[in-house]
Amino acid sequence: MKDYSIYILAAYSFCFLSLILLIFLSKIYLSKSEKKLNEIDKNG
Amino acid sequence: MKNIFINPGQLNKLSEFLSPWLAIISFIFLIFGLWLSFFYSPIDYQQGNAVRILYIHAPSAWLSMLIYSFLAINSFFGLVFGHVTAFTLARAAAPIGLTFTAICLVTGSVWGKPMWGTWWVWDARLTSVLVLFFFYIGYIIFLKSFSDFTKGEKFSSILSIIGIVNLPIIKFSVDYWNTLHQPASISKFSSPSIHIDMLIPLIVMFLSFLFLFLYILILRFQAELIIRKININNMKFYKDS
Repeated sequence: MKDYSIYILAAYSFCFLSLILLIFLSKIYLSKSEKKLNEIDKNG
Repeated sequence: MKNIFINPGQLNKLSEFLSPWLAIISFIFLIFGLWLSFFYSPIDYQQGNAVRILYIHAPSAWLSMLIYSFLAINSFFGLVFGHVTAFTLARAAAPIGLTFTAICLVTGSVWGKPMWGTWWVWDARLTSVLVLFFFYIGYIIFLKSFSDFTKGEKFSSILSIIGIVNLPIIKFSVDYWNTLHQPASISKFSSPSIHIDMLIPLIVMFLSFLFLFLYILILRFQAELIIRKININNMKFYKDS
């Protein structure tokens, strides 16, 4: 049987790295927007 | 109940409560799904161990279409009834759908190299999924292209509603055209042409991705709601001054 480990590793790495990056960027997006809103509230 | 889904503030409160639970459920399903994919699922007699790539490829393909339907339906409700919640949900869903479509295309390509002998072929299924990818990109570009964000929302919503035509093309491309991509094996619920030992990991991984989508959707929904508030404030400020 042929060894497909490199393909499996490449596919799973791409999948989970993209999902982790998406979660990370979404969290940053949320915290930045909250900061912006707080600044606007402070400045009236 | 109806008010919860129309009033963005109330939906935001519900989202805050649901968010950690969705993350936990998705993580549990993911661990279980990965265990099933690597240790429970048998080796395919033709594909060998490469079959394990399909446990992330197929669920991400299903989600890419499901999220697009969600986006288009919300865009429709936003356009027709002017629901702020619907517009905000559509905006929040777009980058998630784009990511799942990219995962579907890349993992399919990585699977195709050892199985078909090529990274890419311009067959009906692959090309129509690539078109879906471009519809997501088009939607996001339209959103960001207008200084008046409400105009951007309207144009991108129209684009997403046009793009819904692509979904049945993706689904039936393998039946109507002679494609290298195999025909449907799961959607025939009367007689799925896949063994139960391979069907279970697929479904568990799909559920994990589905809960993950909902979790990220909530994160982005909360952020988009705040950005909308800021944009409306800015517009009022410019009008007044």
